[in-house]
Amino acid sequence: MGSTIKRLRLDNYIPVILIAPCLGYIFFFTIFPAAYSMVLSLFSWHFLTEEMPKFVGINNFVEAFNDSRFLIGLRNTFLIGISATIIELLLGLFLALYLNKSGLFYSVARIICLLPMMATPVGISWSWRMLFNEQYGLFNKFVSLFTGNALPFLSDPSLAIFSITFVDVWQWTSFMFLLTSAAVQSLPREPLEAADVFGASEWQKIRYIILPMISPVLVVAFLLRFLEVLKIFDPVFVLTGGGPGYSSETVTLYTYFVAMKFWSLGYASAIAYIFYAFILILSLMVILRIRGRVRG
Amino acid sequence: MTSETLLRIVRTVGKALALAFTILILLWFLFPFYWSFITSFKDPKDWLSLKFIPFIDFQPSLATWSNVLQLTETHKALINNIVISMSTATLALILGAPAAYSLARFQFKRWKNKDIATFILSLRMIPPAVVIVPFFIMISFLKLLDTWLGIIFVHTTFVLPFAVWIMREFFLDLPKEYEEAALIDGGSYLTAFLRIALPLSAPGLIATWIFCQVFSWNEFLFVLILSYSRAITLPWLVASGEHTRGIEWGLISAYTILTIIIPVTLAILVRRYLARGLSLGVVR
Repeated sequence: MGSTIKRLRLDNYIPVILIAPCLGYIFFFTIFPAAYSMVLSLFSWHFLTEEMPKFVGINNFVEAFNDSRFLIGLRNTFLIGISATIIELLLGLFLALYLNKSGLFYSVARIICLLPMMATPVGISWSWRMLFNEQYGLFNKFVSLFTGNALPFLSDPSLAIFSITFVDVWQWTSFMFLLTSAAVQSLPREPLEAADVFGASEWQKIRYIILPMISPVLVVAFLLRFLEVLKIFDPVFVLTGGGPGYSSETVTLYTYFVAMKFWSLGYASAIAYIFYAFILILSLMVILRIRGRVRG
Repeated sequence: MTSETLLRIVRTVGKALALAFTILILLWFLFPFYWSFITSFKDPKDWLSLKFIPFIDFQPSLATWSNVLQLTETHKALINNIVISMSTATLALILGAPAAYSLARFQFKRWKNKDIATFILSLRMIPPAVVIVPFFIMISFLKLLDTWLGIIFVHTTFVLPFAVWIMREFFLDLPKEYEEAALIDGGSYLTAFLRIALPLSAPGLIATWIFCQVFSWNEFLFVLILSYSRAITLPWLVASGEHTRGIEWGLISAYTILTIIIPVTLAILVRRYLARGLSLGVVR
């Protein structure tokens, strides 16, 4: 706009004045805390017993890589992350393609598909915990019809991870559906009409026209979702609390325990930063892809 | 049988399977809502029983709800939730909208606008684990533990990058001509922003406000860290469902429904903007 209109002198400062409060807030509440935490990761600080942090160099980091509980947390986080994201992508894509029609059933179905995503995660995790209940839960009543005995969905180490993934898939298939469905609906009509003229089947249209055209969105959706699942906290907190033992703990939950239950603030910062290092490349990929797809 | 009919049979069966699968998924999506809903109307003895249909399988009772709605805890958490989420959304818009407008309309000299915007967005990718410790220390240093303000500040940091990014998109959508007309008529950039751009992009801004509100409403980790009694929210109350008397499933179900109902309703209202907002502008 500046190029088309002669700027008034006072107006020269308006752009800076408009953006300054936001950048100031971001500096004070994001950059500063993140930097503080990075520095703190080099210190040992047991908040309840020690007055001041004690400098320990890279000891926290060495300790972290020998901390089996942290390593299990990392493994769980990535295991849940990758399996949930893949299933969500496939289910979401299926729903988006199938429900891309007009009619009352389809529009109601599209709204239903949006609901799980907006439901408060801790709340809905309780619903699932009720359904997973070993003695009385609906799932086990159903399972025992076939197997004769109940499955400990939340109290068996490997099943607990599965149950958490299940709840994440329930909640976030919505997100994949939403993004892929928006991408499908914004496709140009012409190629599909041309395919109709040549008598292409539904499957051929999906395989050779729709999928290639929406694949950039699929990639962004996949990466965005994957980054989000890696932060998973709420369902784990409610469903298993990280248990049994700490077999279903994720990194965020473990960091929470280290910081707020063991009050070892330096070590908590260190493990959080190790985790951040793991996902930094992924974050950069997402950011650059999104940057490439927007205007300005 | 010709290959033609075989093909037709395969297609019909395929269509039926796809429909069945879709209906199954839809039921799966709805079921937890339904289950919590009916559990909140059951008597304690039926909480964990497999009774599905009210009036036929069991006699619904309002006992749990009247209990929940009378607890002062509930009132406190509900008010806290409303105040915190609405203030967070408002603060994010007050800070974010001018910044977004600035990035959409003016050219900064040293850095490209898109890079400034991308930098702001990249802060959203910082995992919450990284800021658990510093936020706790900062908020307790500011003497804001267990207060509205402490949680509002922290929630705003999480929604602000998103709000700036998505509002920039909305401002870019506006045709510049209206604002240029205002400038020609002698208005300043500020009037162009306040009088022209803001009102014109109101629907997008309201959608952004609702996104921020819903995020803050649902957020649990930082509420857990920063509050313990006075500033607790509904998610906090729901998550602390295990009492000394064991788990009161009906009570938790009622809390779950109470917590969920607002974000879900709002989401349906702004569903036109959902895809664009949540994909950070990648799909329109």
